[in-house]
Amino acid sequence: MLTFGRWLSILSLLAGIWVVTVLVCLLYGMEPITLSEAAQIFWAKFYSGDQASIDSSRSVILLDVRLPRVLLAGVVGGALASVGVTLQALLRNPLADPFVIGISSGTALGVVLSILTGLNLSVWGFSALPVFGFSGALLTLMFLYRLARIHGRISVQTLLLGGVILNAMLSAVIMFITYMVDANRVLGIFYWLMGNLGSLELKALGVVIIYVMIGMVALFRIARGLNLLALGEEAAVTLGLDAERTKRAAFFASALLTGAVVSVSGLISFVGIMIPHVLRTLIGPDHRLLLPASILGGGIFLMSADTLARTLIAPTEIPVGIITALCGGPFFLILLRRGRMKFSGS
Amino acid sequence: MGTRSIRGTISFLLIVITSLVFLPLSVFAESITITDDLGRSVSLEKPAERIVSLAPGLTEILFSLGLGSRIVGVTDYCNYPPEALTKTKIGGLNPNIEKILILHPDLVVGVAGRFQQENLARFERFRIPYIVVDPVSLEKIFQTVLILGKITGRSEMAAENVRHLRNRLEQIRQSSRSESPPRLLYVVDDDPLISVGKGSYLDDLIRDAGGINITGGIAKPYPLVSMEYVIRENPQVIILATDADRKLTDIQKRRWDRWSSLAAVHDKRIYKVDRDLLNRPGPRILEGLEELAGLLHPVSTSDSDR
Amino acid sequence: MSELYALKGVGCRYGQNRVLNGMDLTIARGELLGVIGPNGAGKTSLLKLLGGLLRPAEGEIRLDSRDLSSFPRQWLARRIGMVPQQYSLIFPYTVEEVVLMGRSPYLRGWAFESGEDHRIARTAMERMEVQELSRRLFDELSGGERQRVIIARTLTQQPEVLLLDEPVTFLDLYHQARIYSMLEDLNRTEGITVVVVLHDLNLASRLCNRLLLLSDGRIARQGTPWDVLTEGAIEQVYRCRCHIDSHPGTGRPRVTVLSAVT
Repeated sequence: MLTFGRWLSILSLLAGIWVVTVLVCLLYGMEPITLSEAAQIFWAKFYSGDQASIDSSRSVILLDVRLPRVLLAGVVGGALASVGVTLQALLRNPLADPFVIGISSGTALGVVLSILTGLNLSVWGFSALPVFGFSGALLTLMFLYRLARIHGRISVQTLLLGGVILNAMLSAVIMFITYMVDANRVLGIFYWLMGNLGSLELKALGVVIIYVMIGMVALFRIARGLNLLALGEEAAVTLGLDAERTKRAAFFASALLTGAVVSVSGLISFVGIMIPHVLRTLIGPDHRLLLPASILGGGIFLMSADTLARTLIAPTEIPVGIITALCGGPFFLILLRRGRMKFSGS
Repeated sequence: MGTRSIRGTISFLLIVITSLVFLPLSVFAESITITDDLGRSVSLEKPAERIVSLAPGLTEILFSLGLGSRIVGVTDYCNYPPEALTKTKIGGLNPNIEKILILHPDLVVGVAGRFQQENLARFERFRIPYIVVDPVSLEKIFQTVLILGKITGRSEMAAENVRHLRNRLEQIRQSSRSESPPRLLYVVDDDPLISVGKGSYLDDLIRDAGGINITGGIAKPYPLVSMEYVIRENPQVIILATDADRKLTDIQKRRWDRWSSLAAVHDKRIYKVDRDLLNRPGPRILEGLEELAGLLHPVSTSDSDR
Repeated sequence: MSELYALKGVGCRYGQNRVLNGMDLTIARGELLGVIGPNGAGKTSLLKLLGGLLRPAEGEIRLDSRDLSSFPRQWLARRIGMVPQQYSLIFPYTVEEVVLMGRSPYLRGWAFESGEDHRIARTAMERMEVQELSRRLFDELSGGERQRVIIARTLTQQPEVLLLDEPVTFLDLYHQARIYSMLEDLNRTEGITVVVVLHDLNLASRLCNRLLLLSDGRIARQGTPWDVLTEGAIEQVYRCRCHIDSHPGTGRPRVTVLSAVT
């Protein structure tokens, strides 16, 4: 039963864990930084302006390497988890996530093409890569939308099936490109596809955050609608929901969020499926709580996974997509064995 | 005996005598045998006349042995020397077997790698002599020159070439020797950051050029490297071998300028090299090596351009 | 009693199939109308039409003299409650949460349910005798329990029209009887207009004052139970021979099916 009190206390708890995770991830790494050192560095940077401190390698590592990376992981994890929640409600299937309906692959294809054709133009000094990625997401989305529009309404079955097929096709195209390409390029594309959070600077991160916030706001507005959709579209309509508008908003927000994050981070799987599932089991399926909780939960998970990715076999890194996949597989196997997977029908 | 049997006997004797005369003569015919890098023994009856090359580096080696006129097929990537561009193209990493067959080659040369098994099977099926080399070090490149020289009847020229190359290499090594070899980061790809580690021959090249590869201790040939590590190691030089252009792109400038704490950035010692020179196991690798050494050990005040 | 619904020449399509044709119908406020007919006659489609889920391809539907499609969704949801024939729930919502969703037409945006909303939900659950199940997960309930929860949810909408599609399919006799007396009660004491699709002809006869017999998307007969439930009509529409007499207790027509017409 969702009351304001419960909502606030659960989210506060998660927010607390989120902050602690950020701190731990900032301090932990090849070069362990203690809390007091970190405090000194922040002080120097933002208050005293002590240049020597700012230029020290510790400071650079903390502020220029780790901070953007950890924050990006938080943002990407949150975005992917919230898209997962939304798509699962929309498609009425607990296994839906941005991967499954092909939007992630569309984004990836856009990025790969831009890397290959060297159309890595810079717009005001920013790489045009995210633009290609987002275009990929948008084109995929529009294609799916056209496909799934039957008699002017969006058919979710067609959306799901169409998305799965589209995902397979796009993945094949990406593989084909990787196969055909000059051996020199293959490695870079390959690693990028497996997920990588390391390369953004704070300013670019800011742009990503803006996109993500727009998407999140759109999702928050339809949170209650997602609850109603769980009863079935017709029932939702009889309860006053403008189902078409809700579906459209969900769809577009998902594409925006996915496009924004996949184009900077590559393909990171399982976050969109696991986090909503775990949280739903713990705090219930009410989307007014589940959605914000997933944003925090997804962030916590990905920040931790990324920290593992960059420290397990330091100084080299494991692409973070591998870590999330390694977590995801066993997770679902355990759930299956325990028979706790709640796919209910009537 | 009748006439027929006399004629039969004479024919028989003629055949025997002819064989006996020619049999020993065949011993004097030149058949060339070499052992390739997979340990296979490849023999030709006479020096190769119609050669197909499956790798740009090998094409360059063949041309350097003056065999340009004997090359009948090259890959899409073979672009040096310019004459190579006029040759018939037979495909990329996975060559088109039909195109190769039409050219009736008497020798195909390729490098070990992705399509090894398929190629081996194919050429065996069509009985085309196929040499596989694995030029993973300078020494191996020299060996390849000698092997190719032998199989084409240019052994002396090959030996001469290798002598020159070895001299040049020694010169480079000597002039790059220094008390404090510069520490460098060799970048294969910017984003994500990929460098070279143990097991990559680029690591050896860096050593030959008199530098210390800061990622040389990592056990993977092409590892993903965390920026944290780079900051900690603080290289004095950064070599970008990301594409063929010598000039840094705007994006690359931005990307590296932000790490102002790095000595390499601070001293403006970020250089780009032509990755084709260093990645191709051929004679021009020494040009690349020279360039690399020059960047690492600049003489007098000549700063390299960005 | 004033006119609530007025349908003129309404035809309806589902994809390529025609499901309703030339419907002329008025429903007065406060009526207890039963809709009967064989499968595929269009009963569910009629209900969806009245609930605004289906748009007529021809003709017009008016609610309170205004075109039904001109009303905003949320406003309709405060007036019309629909109990569907089938439903499915993905995700583990509790009974309480499901029932509270009925208050959705009264909430704006991100709002949380108020104390008043909770009270209304509780009353509805008590009425349907599911209040002990409030913390249980909806998908762990039996078919009958779920049915009652859905009806409770519809009641929390506080509608003035109730549209029910075969609401007693999984219920045992006790609960069937309770539902019907509750419907009668709501209709009589609170003036709620009830349109209910029924399979059971005798139940329809006993419960409703007015019946609508549908056949092949058209109205075959409408009127009082005596008008509609004739042996001839039933044979024609249901292809069954039956015997009709007067029920000794209620005085309503009683149908006894004899055989199918081959």
